Amino acid sequence: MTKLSPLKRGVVIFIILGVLTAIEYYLGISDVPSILLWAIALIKMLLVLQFFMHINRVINPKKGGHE
Amino acid sequence: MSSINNTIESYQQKLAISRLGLWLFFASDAFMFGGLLVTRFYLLGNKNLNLDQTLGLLVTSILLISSFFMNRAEVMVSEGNHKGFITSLVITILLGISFLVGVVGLEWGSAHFGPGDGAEGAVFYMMTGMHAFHVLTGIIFLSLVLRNGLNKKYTPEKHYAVEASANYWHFVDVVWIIYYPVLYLMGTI
Amino acid sequence: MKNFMSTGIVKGILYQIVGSFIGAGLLGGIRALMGLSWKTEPAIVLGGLVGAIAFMVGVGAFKDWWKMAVGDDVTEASEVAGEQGFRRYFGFSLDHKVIGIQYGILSMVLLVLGGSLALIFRVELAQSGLQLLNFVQFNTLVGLHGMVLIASILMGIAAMSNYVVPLLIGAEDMAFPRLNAFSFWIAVPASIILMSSLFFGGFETGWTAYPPLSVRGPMGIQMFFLGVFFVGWSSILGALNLIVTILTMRTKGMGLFKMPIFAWSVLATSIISLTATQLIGLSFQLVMFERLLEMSFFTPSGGGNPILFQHLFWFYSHPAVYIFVLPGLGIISELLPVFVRKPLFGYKWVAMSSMGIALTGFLVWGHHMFTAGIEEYLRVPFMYSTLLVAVPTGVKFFSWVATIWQGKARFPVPMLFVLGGIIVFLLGGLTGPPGGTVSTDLHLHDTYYIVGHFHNTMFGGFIFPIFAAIYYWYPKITGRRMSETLGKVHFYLMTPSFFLMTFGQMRIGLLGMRRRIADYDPAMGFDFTQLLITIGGYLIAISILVFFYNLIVSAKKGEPATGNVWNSRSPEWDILPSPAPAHNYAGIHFNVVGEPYDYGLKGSKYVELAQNVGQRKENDE
Ligand code: HEM
Ligand SMILES: [Cu+2]
Repeated sequence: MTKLSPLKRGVVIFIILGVLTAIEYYLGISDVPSILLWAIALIKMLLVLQFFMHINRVINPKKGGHE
Repeated sequence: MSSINNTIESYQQKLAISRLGLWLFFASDAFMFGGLLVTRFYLLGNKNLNLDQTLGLLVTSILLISSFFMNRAEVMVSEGNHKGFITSLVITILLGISFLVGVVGLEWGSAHFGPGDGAEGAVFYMMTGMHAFHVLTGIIFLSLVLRNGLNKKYTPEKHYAVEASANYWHFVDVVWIIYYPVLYLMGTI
Repeated sequence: MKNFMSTGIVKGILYQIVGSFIGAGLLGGIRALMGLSWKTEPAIVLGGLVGAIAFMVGVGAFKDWWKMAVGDDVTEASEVAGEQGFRRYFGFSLDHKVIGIQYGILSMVLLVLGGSLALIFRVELAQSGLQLLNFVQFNTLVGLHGMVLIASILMGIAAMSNYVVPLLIGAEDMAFPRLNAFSFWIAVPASIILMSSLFFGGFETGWTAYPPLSVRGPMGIQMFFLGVFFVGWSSILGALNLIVTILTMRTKGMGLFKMPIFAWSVLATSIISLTATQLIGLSFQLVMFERLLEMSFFTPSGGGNPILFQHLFWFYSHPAVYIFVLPGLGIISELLPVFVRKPLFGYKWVAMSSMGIALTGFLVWGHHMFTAGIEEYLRVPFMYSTLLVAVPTGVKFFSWVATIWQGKARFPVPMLFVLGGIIVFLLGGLTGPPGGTVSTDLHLHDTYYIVGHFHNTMFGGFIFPIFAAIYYWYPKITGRRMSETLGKVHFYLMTPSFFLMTFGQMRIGLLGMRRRIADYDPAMGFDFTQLLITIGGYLIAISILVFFYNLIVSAKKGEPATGNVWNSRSPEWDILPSPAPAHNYAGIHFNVVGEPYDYGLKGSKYVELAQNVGQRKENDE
């Protein structure tokens, strides 16, 4: 993931998020146990935190500036 | 004044400090959203709110796509791509506005209950309302960033305002990532 | 006159008044346009909200932020030349020391206001029967006494943290000076709004604002909610600032485990305020919305549940009690070694115990709800978690006792208050577990015993330590000492009066006196004890008047004290002159060369001026 250029990485993450949302939707309307929905939501959340919000920048401030 | 040893000297250090502050704010705000989540399950348990699924999926997709463009905008400003930055930012703002129209305009108008109709109404309007309020503030921040961006205030090296409002936008998206299944998908009718 | 009108606070209040009317008028206007009749309750809510924002505009809190938002340059906070002299305490200042004093003034004003409310309802309680107040007035006074003093405590700890923490860790200011000023100033309109609940019919719920009473009672509760909401933001943003300051702005060489212990307790406190405060804000907002829009969160007939409110409320309000005491306990640990000339026993353990209390504090809120009808299976776990808090609290006590053991104690006024604080807080800690044990709490809950318990904790954990802190750092602020004689009068009057009050409260509580009740049956035989409690309360008030007299007079007439008055090792005494200069350590290089509390060890130092200061200066210029 780190080798991709930031723009491409954004596209990849977005596609993953989109697919997860679609899965989530179909699971949701077909009455599966909530735990699955929680799991998907959590994965989506972590993806956004890591790749869109760059949580590393604050945990590890030495790593430096913007992109 | 150059001999002050404890001033915030470099932009780098200032950046680290501002980032930490911003994330602490997110942590704090997350507790508020968490409290609403608890409220939902405490009052409604495993009950589904029976909302319009198409509309739900639509607004969720809109917000997700806006997050994608937000990310592009931030990357582009750091790469010095001014035009791309502005375009992506404008798209983000427009999508944000459509999200608000979708939730507040359509969903609130068409839901089969009002805020005064029992615990379901109370929970639904409070959660979506609180989230919509954050979206609204996000749009305001982004509009200010757009204004300054058009005035060329941001450089690839210095654009913390872009980063901060982008992070805020993603944070609001993260909240919806949790709220969407909780409000629309979970539970039985 | 023009000068007076342009003072920040005066301008702010004027703006707030105008803003409130605009807000209320706006709502009335919109309703009129929609063909609805005038309704006071939503109007005062919107009025209060707009008024508070208008206050912030008036005081100038948004000026620089607005400039930043539209992309203009603003001066670095450290280069803003603020107003000088006494005036600067009444306007928007970015200097953490000025803001610290401002917080202190506000805290003391609230202390007087809240205390006076108690003095009024104590008169009512001194005798059975109703003499002075009706029920709503009585309940309003009790509830407002609670919340105003909580606000006072929050302001007081903010005062101590703001003034002292940057000095202790060798920083020039706080991490976000503008946010710091904002956090302070938002508390001013908040206090005004909070007090204004008196004029909108009061409220009947006590400070906890439980529904269903808060949903149905008089609308003064709305002003109460709104006031607390803004105080909450003050507390959240202040905490955010303190965390960032402590984590990122320590002087070179000061590792986390080398910083003064007070900084640790502020860090722990701030973690609680930053997160938990949101929950009280939320719970109060939900009641506000329930009242305004009939959203039934807490009304069972509409599918709501009043217990939910108690969960949300206590999830903040239990940790909040540690917000109130942790800084005070930090002050005790900070000052004790100075006055017994011995190292603080178990520094690391004390530091970690603050964190431990902060974290376990999140797990115990259910002990306020044993009788409320929470799920049976929750009671015993909450009982055990409650008793668990005693462990980190015990660590602090052992450390204090071991620090005092065989020390060369001196007893100037700050030390007296430190010792008083330890003893009173011990009493508070010992009276807690009977309330935390389910079987005994079923008897004790909602009695005056609980009132006794928490007055012990708050006095021991906050009132005594903050007085110690004021007597101790006063020379740093003014360059003069407060009178020792008056200080001793204050201490020796307040302490026995406090014991009179609190033992009286616990006695009648154990015998069955309920709290928040304006009247009681003369046949219960409480009259005499109630009278003693009232007398105790008034004596405390007199002692505090002595303190204020001392505080004000010493600023002009006190004995000059510019050096290291207490022989302390910490940098603000060891290195800086008094009163502390603007920008603290600007232009001074110092190194951390030892442990903070190694008192009595020959030749050891905590901080040392860097040898090559002169040289480095030359190089720089
Ligand atoms: C070792 C520690 C402590 C224990 C075990 C403890 C336990 C309790 C319990 C069980 C109650 C609820 C009693 C009831 O309403 O039936 C209570 C109430 C209270 N405690 Fe503590 N406590 C401790 C320390 C503190 C501290 C440090 C403070 C504050 C600074 C504090 C402030 C309060 C307050 C304000 C209340 C009353 C809340 C109300 O209005 O109902 N406590 N305590
Ligand atoms: Cu508690």
